[in-house]
Amino acid sequence: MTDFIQKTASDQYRGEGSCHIKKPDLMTSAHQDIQLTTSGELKHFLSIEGLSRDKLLEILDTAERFVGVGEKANKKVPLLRGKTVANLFFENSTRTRTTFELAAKRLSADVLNINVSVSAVTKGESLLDTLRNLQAMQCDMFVVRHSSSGAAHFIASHVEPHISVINAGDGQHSHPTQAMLDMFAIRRNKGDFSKLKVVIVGDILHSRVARSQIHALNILGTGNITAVGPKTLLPEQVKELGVHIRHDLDGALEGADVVIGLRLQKERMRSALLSTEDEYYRNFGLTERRMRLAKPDAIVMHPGPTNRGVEIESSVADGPQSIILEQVTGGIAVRMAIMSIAMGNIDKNLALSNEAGTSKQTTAT
Amino acid sequence: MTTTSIVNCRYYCADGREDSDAAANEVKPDEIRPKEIKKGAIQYTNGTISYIGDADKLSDSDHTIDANNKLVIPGLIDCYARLREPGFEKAGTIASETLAAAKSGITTLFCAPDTSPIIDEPGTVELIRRRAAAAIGVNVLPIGALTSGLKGEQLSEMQILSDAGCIAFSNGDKPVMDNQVLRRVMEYSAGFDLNLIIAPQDPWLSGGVAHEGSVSIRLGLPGIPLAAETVALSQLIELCYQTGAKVHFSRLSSQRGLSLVRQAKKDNIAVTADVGIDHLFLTEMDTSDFNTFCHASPPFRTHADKEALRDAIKTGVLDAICSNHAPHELDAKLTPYSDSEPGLSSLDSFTGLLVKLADEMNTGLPTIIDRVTAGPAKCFSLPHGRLSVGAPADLCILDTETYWEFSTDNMISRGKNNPYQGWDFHGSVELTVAGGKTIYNHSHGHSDDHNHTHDRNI
Repeated sequence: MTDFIQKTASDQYRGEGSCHIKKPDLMTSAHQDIQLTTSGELKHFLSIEGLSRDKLLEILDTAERFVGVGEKANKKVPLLRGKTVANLFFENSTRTRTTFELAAKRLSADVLNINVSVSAVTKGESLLDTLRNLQAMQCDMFVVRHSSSGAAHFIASHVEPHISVINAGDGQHSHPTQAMLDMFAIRRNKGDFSKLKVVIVGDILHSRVARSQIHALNILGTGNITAVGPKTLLPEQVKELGVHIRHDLDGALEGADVVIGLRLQKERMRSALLSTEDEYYRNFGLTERRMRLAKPDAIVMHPGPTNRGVEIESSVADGPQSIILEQVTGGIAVRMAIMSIAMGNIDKNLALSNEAGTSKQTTAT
Repeated sequence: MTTTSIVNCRYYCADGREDSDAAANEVKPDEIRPKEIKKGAIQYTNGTISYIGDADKLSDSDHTIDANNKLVIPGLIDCYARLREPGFEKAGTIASETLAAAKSGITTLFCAPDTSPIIDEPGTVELIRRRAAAAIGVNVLPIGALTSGLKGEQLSEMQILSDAGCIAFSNGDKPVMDNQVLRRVMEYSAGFDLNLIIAPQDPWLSGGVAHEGSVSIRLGLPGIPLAAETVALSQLIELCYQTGAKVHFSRLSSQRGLSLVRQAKKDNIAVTADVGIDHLFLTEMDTSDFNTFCHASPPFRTHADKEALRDAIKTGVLDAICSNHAPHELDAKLTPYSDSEPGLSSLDSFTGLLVKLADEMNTGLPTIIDRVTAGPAKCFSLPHGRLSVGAPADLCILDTETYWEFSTDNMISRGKNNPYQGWDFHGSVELTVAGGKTIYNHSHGHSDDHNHTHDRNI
C-alpha cells in the first residue's frame, strides 16, 4: 500500500508538470543532486529526499561502530583531526547544537560555535557575507541551522568545493540528521523496517522533522506510515510524501509498532490553526490509555523538547515504552557517522582531482 | 514633415477585431478567424501611419526601409511593468528598462505605481514622463496609485492624476484591505470613467511564498492557496457589479480564477483581464529546487492552471498578456527561497516567449500578437496597437526565421533575475518604431546574432 502511494507521489514529481528550467550544471545527468559528488557520494547532507537506501544504511552501519566510542574512557577517534567545524546557528537550539559539537569533538575536529543572531543579519550583513567570511577563516565544514526553508541548499550551492555543509534544520523543510538518528533508534529496537507500522502524530505541516522522517522511512521500506493530526496541521497534499493520513489518533494507533510524537510549537496555539491546548491533548495527546491501542511492545519517540500535557503525557514520556533519551544518545553517533562520511568523501574527491591535475601536468611536460 | 516607408513587408492586418466579443459570447477558439497577414508596404508621416497597402500605390518618401519580407506588427503594449524609478534605481531605471522594452518590440508600457515616491501626485507623473521622454522613446504611461501612499485608506486624486497622464489606477501589489474603501474607490472612479487595474489577492490568504500544493508541502514553504485569488476575485466582481467600475484584473494565475472572470464577462460586467507572460510557461515544479528566480507573485501554480491560462488566451477570457516585469538587484535573490523578493525580470525574454507561445499553442502568431497589441489597447481605450491609417506609427519588424539562445549575459534590464538561461527562442525583433521614431534597430546592436539565421519560412 505504501509502495503504491510512493509511486504515485514520485510520478507526480516527474510527471506532467516537469521542471522547465534548464540549469547548465544539471544538464549532464538528469538528477545531479547538489549533496552528492560527481561520482554519487555524499558530500553535503541537506535532505533525506533523493538519497538511496544504501546511503542511509551506510550511515546507520557507520553509526553502530561509533556507539562504542562514547562508552570508552577515551572518547575520541582521529577521523576529523585538523579539521575545523563551524556550527552556524541562525536559530536557537541547545540540544542539536550540543550533540553536533560533541560529535565533532569526538572526531577530533576543532569546533567553532557561532550564534548568528538575527540582529546581526538585520544590521545589513547578508547570509552570503557571513558565509564568505567564515570561508575565509578556512573552515572545512558548516553545520547550519536556519529559519528559512532551503537555507542549507542555498549555502551548499555557494560554498567552495572543499567545504561540506550539514543541515541541522532549515525552516519547515528538512532536518535530516534528526531523521537518521530516529531511524537508528528504530532499527536498534525494532529491526526490519518493512514489517513496521509507524504512526507520526502532531503538527506535520510545520515540521521539518516529520518531512525527513517520512522520506527516510519510505526509503528504508517501511510497510505502513500514517500521519495523524488535525486537518489544519495535516493538509491533504501530505499524502504525496508517501503516507496515509488520518485525523483520529485512536484508530491510527491500532497495531502500531512505532509512535512518534512531534513538538507542538506554542505559537500555533495563538494562531487560528488550533483551539486550545486542552482540546489538542484530548484529541492528539499521547496518553497511557491511548498507547494501549498500539502493539504492547510499541516504542514511543519524540524529537524533543517535549511539551508534557500538550502532546504527550509525562508517564508516557518517562515510561518503559519511551526511547526518547536513547534517541539523544544515538544522535551523537549518527552525527559522527554523517560528518565523517561527508568529510571523507570530500577529501577523497579533492585528492582525486589533484591527482588528475598532476597527471595532466606530467603528460604536458 | 518626414515620411518613412517600409517596403517589401508582410504585415499584420488588424482592421477590426473580429474576436473582440469572443469571451462574452463564449466563442470556441477555432471559430475565431485568424487575422490575415498581407504583403505590401506601410508608410508613416511624422508620428502617424499614413498608408497601408499595395506597394505600387505607395507615394514618395524621405526614408525607405526594406523589410526583406519580414513581418511588421503593431508595437507591443505592456500593461504592467515595474521600472523601479524613481526610488529603486539599483534595480532598474526608466532608461535601462525602456531600452529592454524597445528591444522586445514594446512601444507602449504602463509602469507600476509602487515607486518611491509613490505615483500618487502629479509631480511624480511629470517626473516619470520627462525621464521617459529623455530615454529611448517608449511611450511610458504611469499607473496612478489607487489610494494615497498605497495605504488602502484614502482615495488618491484620480482625476488630477488622470489629467497629468495616468492611464489607470492600481494599488500595485498591495491589497486594499477594507472592502468599504475598495467600494468607494470603484464608485469614485466609475463616475469619472477611469480604468482600474487590480491584482486579485486576498491579503489574509496570500502571506506565503509559493503555490500551496505538492511542492510547497514537500519543501516546507509557506503556501498561497488558490483561494487567495478566487476569494479576492469573487469580492471584486461583486463590487464591480454593484459600482459599475471598469476593472482590469491583472496577473491572474489560476484555472478557477479564470472561470470567475469568464462568468463575469458573460454577465456583462465591465471586467477585462491579463496574465503575466511567465505564468504561461512556469509552474510550481520550477520552484522545486528552491530556485529563487522562480519566486513570483502571484505564485506559479499547477500544470493544469498553466494550461487553463493558455486556453484563456485563445478563447479571449484573457484580453492581454503583460510582462509583470519585476527587476531586482541580484542580492534580493541571493538568499534562501522564502527570504527572496518575488518577481522576475521579464522584459528581455518577453517577445521570445510570445513567439514560443504561438509555436507551442498552435494558435498562430496573430492571436498572441492581438493579446499584446489590440487586446490591451481595447481594455484601456488606446489608439495604439493596430496598423491602420491614422493610428500612431508604433510598429516593429519581427524576424520570424531567427533562432537564438537566451542568455542572461545579454540582458539589457538592470535586473538579471531571469530564469530562462539557455532556453531556445525563435523569432526576434529587428526594428522598433514608436511615434514614427526608430527606437531600436537590431542591426546596429547585436548583429552577430545573425549567425543563427536559418532558412525557414513560416
